Amino acid sequence: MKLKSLFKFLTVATLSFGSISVASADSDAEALRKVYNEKKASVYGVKGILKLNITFNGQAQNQEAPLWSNATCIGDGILVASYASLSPQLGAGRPGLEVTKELEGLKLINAAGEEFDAKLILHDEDLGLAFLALDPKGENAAGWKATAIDISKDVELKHLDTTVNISRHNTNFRYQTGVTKGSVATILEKPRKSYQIIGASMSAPCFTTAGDFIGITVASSSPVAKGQQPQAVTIPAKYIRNLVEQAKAKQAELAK
Amino acid sequence: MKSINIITASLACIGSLSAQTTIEKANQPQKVTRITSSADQAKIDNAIAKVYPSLVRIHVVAETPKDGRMQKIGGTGSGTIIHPDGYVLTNHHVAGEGTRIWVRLSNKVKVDATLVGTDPQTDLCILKLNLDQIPADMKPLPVAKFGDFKSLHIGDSVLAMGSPAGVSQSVTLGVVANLEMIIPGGQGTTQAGERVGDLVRWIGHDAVIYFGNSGGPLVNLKGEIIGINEIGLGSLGGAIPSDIAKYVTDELIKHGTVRRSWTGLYPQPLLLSGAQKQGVLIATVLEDSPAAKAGLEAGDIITHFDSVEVNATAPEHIPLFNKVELGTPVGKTVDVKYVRDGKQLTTKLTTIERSKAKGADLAIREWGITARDLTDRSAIRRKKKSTNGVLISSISKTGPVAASKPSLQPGDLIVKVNGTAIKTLKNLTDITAERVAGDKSDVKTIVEFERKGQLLASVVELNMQPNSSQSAAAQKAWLGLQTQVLTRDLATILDLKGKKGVRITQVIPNTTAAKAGLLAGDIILKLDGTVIPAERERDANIFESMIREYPADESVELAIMRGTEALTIKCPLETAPTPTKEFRKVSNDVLEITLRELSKAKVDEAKHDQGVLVQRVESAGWASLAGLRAGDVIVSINNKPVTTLDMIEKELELVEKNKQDYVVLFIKRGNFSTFIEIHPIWKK
Repeated sequence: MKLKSLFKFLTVATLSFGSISVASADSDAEALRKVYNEKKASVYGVKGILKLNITFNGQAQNQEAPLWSNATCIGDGILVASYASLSPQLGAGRPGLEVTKELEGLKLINAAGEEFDAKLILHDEDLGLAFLALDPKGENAAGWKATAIDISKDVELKHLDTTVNISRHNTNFRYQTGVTKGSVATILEKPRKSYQIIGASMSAPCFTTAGDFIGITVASSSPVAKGQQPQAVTIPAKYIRNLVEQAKAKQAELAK
Repeated sequence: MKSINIITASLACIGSLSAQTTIEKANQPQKVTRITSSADQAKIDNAIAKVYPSLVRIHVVAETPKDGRMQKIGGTGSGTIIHPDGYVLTNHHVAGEGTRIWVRLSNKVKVDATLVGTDPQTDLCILKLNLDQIPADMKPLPVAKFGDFKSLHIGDSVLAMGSPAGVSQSVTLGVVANLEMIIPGGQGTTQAGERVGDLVRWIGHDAVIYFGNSGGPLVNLKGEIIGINEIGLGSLGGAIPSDIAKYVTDELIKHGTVRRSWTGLYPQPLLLSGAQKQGVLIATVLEDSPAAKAGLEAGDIITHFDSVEVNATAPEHIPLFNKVELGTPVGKTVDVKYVRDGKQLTTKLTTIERSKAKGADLAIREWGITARDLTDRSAIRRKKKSTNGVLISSISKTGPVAASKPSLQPGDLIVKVNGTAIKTLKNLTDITAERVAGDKSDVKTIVEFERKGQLLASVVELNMQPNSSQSAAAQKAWLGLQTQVLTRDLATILDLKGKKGVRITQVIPNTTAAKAGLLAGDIILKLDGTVIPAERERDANIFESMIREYPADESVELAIMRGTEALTIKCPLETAPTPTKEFRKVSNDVLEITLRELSKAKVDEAKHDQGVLVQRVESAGWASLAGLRAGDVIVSINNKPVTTLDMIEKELELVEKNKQDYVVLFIKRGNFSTFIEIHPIWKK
């Protein structure tokens, strides 16, 4: 494969995780709307530039790709997102290919289109989670106001349970929030509990109809499914909680 | 196939010397030179005795612009002491761009040398030895004398002397093959933008020469220098005739430079189809040059230049015309007789000094570029009325300039920075120093530059620092061992048919795994009673992944086969060491190295009880030139043991502050250790 076409392939194949198609059926739209209205302000858009230095069989090329993702505020200036949407796996294991990535100009965007500088502070490749923090030295940091969602509860879902999935659109939809009614399709027990939720958006949160936080949808690659495309799975709150302390420690370093 | 080689040797090619020389020898035609009598042998012995003591092997560090930095290259060549005051004659391409030069005399004593002057146009340069370092047994210095090139004949025996491939002084014997050798097709070697073949017609000879013979003398049987070896053309060596060498030597010793005239006309031999059968055809007249101002045009045929009748009917004649033209005293107004459309015309032409073809390059780290001043000639080539501006010669692909939009490129001419006109390189370095004063980073700077007639503008972030939005990996549970998959074939042969799991290949010292007694060769079949589903190569990450599921403070029970014995080993987990990519790193811009502390998670690093790891050595940097490699472990610096990154960082700061001549590292490389001497040149 020629280097140029390989770059194209990498970009197309890895930067565009689409959301899973939306389920239909409407049981109690009013209750779902209530959850949506309570939680939507915690969901931010994330944009940045992914700078790539790609070396393939000795030929090097620099590429830049704009990123758009979502992140959910879970604490004071700490947000959680899908790691793959910010740092996609590129050409892993392909002989002769070396990719170095650098994330630049990371910004959080609210419904009003206000932008806040942010930093990627922690990631967990196994879980597919990334933690971002508001950059306290960044522009507009003083104007940051966000309501964190409560991630302290663990919820157990059953197949076909209804979920409320909230995401924030990019500039095409003027950064508006979107909501879908989801449905639990698959429950994975191993290596850890996670859900495949129809209607969930990548890097965005899912809630129960009662408004309890279920988790964040990430791109997951099973170590036993090498070479296959990552799957969208929702990682439950407890795994996120386990990493919050580490994220806080990293967040504290930003202020130094 | 024709091949032209500049016959200097770089250190890089010495490694493959043995194979190359063998091939070279196999391809050499049978020599025709025969020593037929003891009288002949006596002449040879006498000639060698006269020149050999004055031979020197030259060692050079040169800096060339590439990828936005000045790359350091080590090389060797040959030279001859031609003056009792310690002047050494060699090639420009050996030492003319050297930033550090030293020689080995014929008695192997090392002596430092400085550059007196260089002449790329004839590929010659003069060095001066540090007389304070000359040992008593070499005083007075042995000096070789020039012979008369005009007395040389085709077929004469000649000796090529020098240090091929950097070996000690050597001699080969051959005959003169050609007294007016040019490189067919008008091609030639180019030195600092000058075509050597414009002035030089080489002495072709078949005395064997090789890379590293460059700058060494070609000697007649009277023991006189009649040429300076420079090129190889197929099986022939090419030496610059002694009449040119002597003239250039005298000029360089007296003035440090060779002044020549420039007219801006470029000649070629007469066309075979042309009516005019005598004269020199003008191929090009550069705009705004003296020749253009004199009214000369391409197609004119010059018959007389400054009253000298000139003629070029063959390529061999062109250097003779150039000698007349370039040899005219600078600023002299000469009569030029020429033929245009069959009519004989005369014009007056005032020559100007031939400037350098290009300026000296300088790296400007804050921009990630190398750049140089324009010279009169390079300005005219760019159709510029003045030499104002700074020409970018190379850029770093990861530097500030490459990141700007639009990004600057080699060949662009910087004319303004933040509204201030940039006329010279000094203007650019001065304004840069002002803008980054106090070691400021990411200083947004507007730069205006010319590219193909357009005046473009861009914003460059001077001193751009790498983006810091690199997250840390979450801390996870870890076992200090490395494994391979228990493949089906391996399981079968180990009497474990149908079993899945991993085989321990390495236990990292001082980890809980080592303390629990796990051994290389153990086969782990179950983790806390659960089968490890690894049976194919692609399952290599499964075990590690399963371990990462646990909290770091838990213990696991491993079902193990050690030979035929089934064991259960309880092993506490521990927090995974920080990945090496997250280690703090220390970069030193002068030595061009990146260092980090040793990782306890890597067996080859964990075995060292002290030192810091060399993570990266920039190619063609001072450390690289001295032989330091990525992966080396620095145990001490300037005799001071190194145990932490902070320690070596402070020591390197001290080295930089004191501008120490040598930085001596004691390093470990695998099972071996060695001393490395880094010998940087400190820029002002």
